[in-house]
Amino acid sequence: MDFSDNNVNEIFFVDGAETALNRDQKETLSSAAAHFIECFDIDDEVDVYISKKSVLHKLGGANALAWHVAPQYNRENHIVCVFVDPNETLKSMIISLAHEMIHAWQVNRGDMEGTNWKKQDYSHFTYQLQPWEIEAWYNMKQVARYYFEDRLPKASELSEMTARTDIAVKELNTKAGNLQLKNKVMKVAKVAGLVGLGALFGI
Amino acid sequence: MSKELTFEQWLDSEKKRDPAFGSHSNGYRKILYELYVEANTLIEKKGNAPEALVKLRLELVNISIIELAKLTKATLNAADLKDLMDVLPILESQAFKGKAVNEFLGNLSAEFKNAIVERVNASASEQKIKMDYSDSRINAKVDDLVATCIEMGRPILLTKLEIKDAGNFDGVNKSKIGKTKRWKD
Repeated sequence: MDFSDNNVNEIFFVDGAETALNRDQKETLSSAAAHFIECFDIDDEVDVYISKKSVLHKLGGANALAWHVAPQYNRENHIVCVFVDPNETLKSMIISLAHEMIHAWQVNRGDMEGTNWKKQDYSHFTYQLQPWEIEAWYNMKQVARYYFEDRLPKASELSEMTARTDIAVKELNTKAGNLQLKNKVMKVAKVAGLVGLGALFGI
Repeated sequence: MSKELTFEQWLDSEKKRDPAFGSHSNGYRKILYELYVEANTLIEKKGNAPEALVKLRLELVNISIIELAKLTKATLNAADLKDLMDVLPILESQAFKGKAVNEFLGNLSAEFKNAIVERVNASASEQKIKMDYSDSRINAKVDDLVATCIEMGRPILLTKLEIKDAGNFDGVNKSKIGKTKRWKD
């Protein structure tokens, strides 16, 4: 699959999705992607791939509903992939798309770079506690609603999202400051409750 | 079902029904008689329509891609583009222009269908077979051909009208990301 950039935001229906989805569904996904790019004012190139769960699915992990890859040394576009799953609705696909677009926004605004969040490495944190995932999981439904309700977020709403993430990450760092707890953070998946983030994010 | 006719009886009956029938070669008469017998047998056994004849008719509805492309081009050349040309300058986005082309092609369905039917009838006539477009299987095949004509016609028109293909998703795997649709529950 060629992921090269060309300065145009494009949507690709691949690997069976081109026939699994009808014209309306494709237009809806394209429109949702355009809406999210507008919501976050992303000025990097974003290419969206809609795929059936097979080839691209393996790149994102067996259970992934979607994935995002930031621009790299050899290309300047974000790659966002969402899977067509017969058990999922179009609405849930759009929520997955919103989740991945939040990652594109995080990279675009400069907070996320590889496994670094605001210049600090979080590679040792479990998936659920990585700052970028905390923000994406907490806000994806709200971001999807912006498309469902056909409205753009106010600047204050976006600031609120990032501020909430900052609070959560600060809390996480404080709790994880203890080396012993840090080890637990590294090993225990459901550690959110342990560090008191459950109340904040409902995870 | 009436009793099956002998070849001679059947030939007499066909000549009465269609005076031109007498001009068929003996070989072709025999093929048609075999089809008649086969159809008769099927009707006797199952009460179905003469399947063999339907098969023959369905075969006639196969038109090659090259023929279909010629037919599409000819239909588009004969079409009146004035209305479409008039509205294109006032449509802001390429996506809307693409949609206008889709609508225009949709409205040309009847013309495509006529051209296909004419072409099929000509082939059927050469074989002295009368087509039956009330048969749903034949009708479905004709509809498929019309859809192919529309698919072929789209890039022809877009190129002719210098429209970039912004909102085309049918049969195309990629497109520019664009807002063309509001969410509907």
